[in-house]
Amino acid sequence: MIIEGAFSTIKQINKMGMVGMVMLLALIGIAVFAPFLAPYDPYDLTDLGEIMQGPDARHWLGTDEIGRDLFSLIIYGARISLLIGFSCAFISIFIGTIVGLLSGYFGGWLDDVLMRITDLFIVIPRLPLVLITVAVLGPSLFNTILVIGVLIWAGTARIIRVQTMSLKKRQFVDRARSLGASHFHIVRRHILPNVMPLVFANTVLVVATSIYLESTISFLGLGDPTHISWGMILHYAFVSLAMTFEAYWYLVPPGVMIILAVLSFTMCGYAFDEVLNPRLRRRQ
Amino acid sequence: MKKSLFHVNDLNVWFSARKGFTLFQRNRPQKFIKAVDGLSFDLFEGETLAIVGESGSGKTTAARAFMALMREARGEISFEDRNILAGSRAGRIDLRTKIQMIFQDPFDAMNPRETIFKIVSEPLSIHRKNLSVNDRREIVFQALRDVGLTPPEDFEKRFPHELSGGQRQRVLIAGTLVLEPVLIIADEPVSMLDASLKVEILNLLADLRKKRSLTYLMVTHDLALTRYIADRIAIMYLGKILEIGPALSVLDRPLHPYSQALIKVVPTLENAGKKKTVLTGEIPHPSDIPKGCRFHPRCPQSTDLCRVQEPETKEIVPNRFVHCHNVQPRVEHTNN
Amino acid sequence: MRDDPYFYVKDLSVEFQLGKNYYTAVHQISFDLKKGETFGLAGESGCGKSTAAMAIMRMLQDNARIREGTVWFQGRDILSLNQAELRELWWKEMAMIFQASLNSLNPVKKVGQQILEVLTVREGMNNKLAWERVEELFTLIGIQPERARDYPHEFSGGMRQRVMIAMAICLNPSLIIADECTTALDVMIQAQIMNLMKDLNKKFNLSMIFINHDLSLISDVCDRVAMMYAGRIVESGPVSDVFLNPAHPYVQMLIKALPSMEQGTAQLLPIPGVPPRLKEISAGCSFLPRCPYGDKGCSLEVPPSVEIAPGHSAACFKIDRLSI
Repeated sequence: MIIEGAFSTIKQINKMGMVGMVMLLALIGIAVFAPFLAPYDPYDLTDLGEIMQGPDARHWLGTDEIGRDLFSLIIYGARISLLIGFSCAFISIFIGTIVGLLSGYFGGWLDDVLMRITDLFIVIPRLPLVLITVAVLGPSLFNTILVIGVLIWAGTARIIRVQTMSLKKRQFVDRARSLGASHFHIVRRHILPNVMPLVFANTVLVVATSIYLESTISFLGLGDPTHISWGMILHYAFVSLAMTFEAYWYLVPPGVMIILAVLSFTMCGYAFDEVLNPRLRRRQ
Repeated sequence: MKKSLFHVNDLNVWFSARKGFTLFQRNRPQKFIKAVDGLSFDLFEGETLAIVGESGSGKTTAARAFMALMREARGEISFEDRNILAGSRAGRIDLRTKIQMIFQDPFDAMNPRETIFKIVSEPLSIHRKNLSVNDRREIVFQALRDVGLTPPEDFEKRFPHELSGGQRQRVLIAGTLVLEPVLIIADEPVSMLDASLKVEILNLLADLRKKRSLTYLMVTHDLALTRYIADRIAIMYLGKILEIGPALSVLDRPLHPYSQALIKVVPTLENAGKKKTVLTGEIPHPSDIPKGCRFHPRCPQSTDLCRVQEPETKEIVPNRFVHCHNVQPRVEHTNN
Repeated sequence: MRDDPYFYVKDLSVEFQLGKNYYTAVHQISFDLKKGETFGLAGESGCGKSTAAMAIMRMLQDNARIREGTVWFQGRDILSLNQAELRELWWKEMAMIFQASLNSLNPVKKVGQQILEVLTVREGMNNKLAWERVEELFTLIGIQPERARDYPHEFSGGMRQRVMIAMAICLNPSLIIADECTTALDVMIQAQIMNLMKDLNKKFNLSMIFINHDLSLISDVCDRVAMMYAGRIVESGPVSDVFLNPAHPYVQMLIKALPSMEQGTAQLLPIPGVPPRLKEISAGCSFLPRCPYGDKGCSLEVPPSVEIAPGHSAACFKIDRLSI
């Protein structure tokens, strides 16, 4: 009976979600098992090949302008891009959830103040803001993660706030209040567990956004050279005039990986949406 | 002479009708939504008092105020010789173990992600954290048995959506018993249940009252229910009690014009098929309570005095109080 | 007395599709309605009365369908009409009032305007005449005609319901189906609406199918009633007969379980158990699990309807227990 249940749940997650999850697992697999999958260590500058060579038997995706194996660079790039994606998402979800909870639960002037701040972050164009901040602070992995995390929590905060406000009106919260429960008890036991599914579903999309933002920052040259993400590979490609030299083996793969990563998270996000909100499920 | 367990005197719950930053509205006159406006009554030990009213009467707000859940409440609510509203936080915490509430929607009043055991034991997690696992289990199980959910082992691991409406309400009632309260405030406890299930819960409540020496304060709009379960009835209108007295007396011989009109429109076998005499107009909004007697615009017996002066609440016959200019205390003692 | 019956339902069954399976929510119900009569369809939640009403109006939701039956109205079987013919029928011959009516008004249009549109579009009336009719209707429902120029949010719940009634009768239908039209309203407003219904019935000889779970309302406004349980009609007859001398165990026990303004001090007795869920309905009498008189004989077949008195019948194998 348990197996039947598991199968029916999986069947409910739509096809798109299944594909997304498979892709995601593949990407995570690549990141985790990078040392085993990559034929070369791209950071080892003693083991360089010919510069700007096209794909051949030794370098499946060719080499870059220093002679690093692009195939390995791309594989290791998965680590950086995914690491950044998850870290930024973690920070932003953390901030966003706290802001949303406080705002939605306490209401009043706290809500007003926090919401105005949130509005500020929503209204300001993300990319220019992130770019300027990183440019000022100096490019480094830490700075990139920090800046993206601190600047994209606003959407999460909004969603959590609305859900918190609606939960607060439920009678089980009323009941807890009438029993003299502390705010901490109510939030921990009643609000948070019912908000977590939403947080979870939202996380997936935030990761996608983080990866996209990081790629753009790196592409524009503000990434950390000691940790090469896909965006940075693209940056180096452009800087090395790969376009002029028609070195498509250099330009295309990193772009494709970025697209695949963002796509897989987004598709997973849709799947979770359907599972969590039964009303969206298609009638069978 | 029964002991007054719960004494409410001139309770007001006024909500400010202004929204937004009050800084910019200092010059505008204050407007209040007077949900509860001068409510006074006594609740005696061991009785079931039903507070009856239509929507807009303020009864639900009053119920919340009795539990000290409304910040806007002013006035006196005395429980065990202490004024709840003026007391300390420690006092209020103590109160929360002695007064418990039953909510209207049994499904909404339970966290859908928690098991029945967790739901029933929540009061213990808040107030009696030091209980041993076994003691806690025993208390929860006994409560489940008392409400007829036997054997408790069958129910403890289930979730709210697996139970029927009647069972859910029983679970919530069990939840009110674990702290061994003296007073239970029930806010429309059966209005969301099917007709044939209502009486199950009402009978259960009556049983529990005897078994556990409880006192009930029941808020409802259903007059037929009150006949079955209440000892006394208070009829509320626009935040105030217009009539209060023994249930059967009030229902069979209402004295206040509003009570009379309200009771006459309840469908019965006797008035089936006939057109009912309905009060003109609608209940005014609590932000705009009529001057003088709040009922005068709709009252078939209103006089000039009613338009300008608010009546006093008079004891018409022993234990029957009416808030009306036109009803005078009776000298002779009639069989009420 | 016409030969052609005004309205009847015969052997109507409705089923729902859940997953891959079909479950019957309404089993072969039959009843008739005479012109000018108010017929009550009563039962607790889940008994199928609202589903039956939707089926009669051909307004079932997507995953429900009518499996069999006839709904005969003024010479035609409604179930055989196509969409165009149905559209002609709705509002003009037959209209419906729901509980959800309270929120069915367009919040950004004036209330009178919304009724006006029905008149101008369906009847081709010109605006002036139509507006006069709107004001006439408002007077009929007991609201000042000037209020027709107000928006829905300026009306209370009870008034909005009365406006929905006005809309339902604006094209002079002869049949109204009212589904829980007073639930969620205060008892005073409820009485107002009931008064209005009785008025309309008298003034226009309006026929009505009144669906409600509140038996006191049914006995107030209906001439005859059919009690439903688990998708079937278990007892039907004149209201006073059914409620004062119920024959079916369910109806008997239900009446003894309802608080009323007349009761004495006798204890009310709940009906043990719960009504069967849609998927649990099996062969035999669906009330058997909760019935004090039932035995194995009741589990084999669905009990047929037995006449107890003229016009009063009940579907029970143990009817003879009554003839003492």
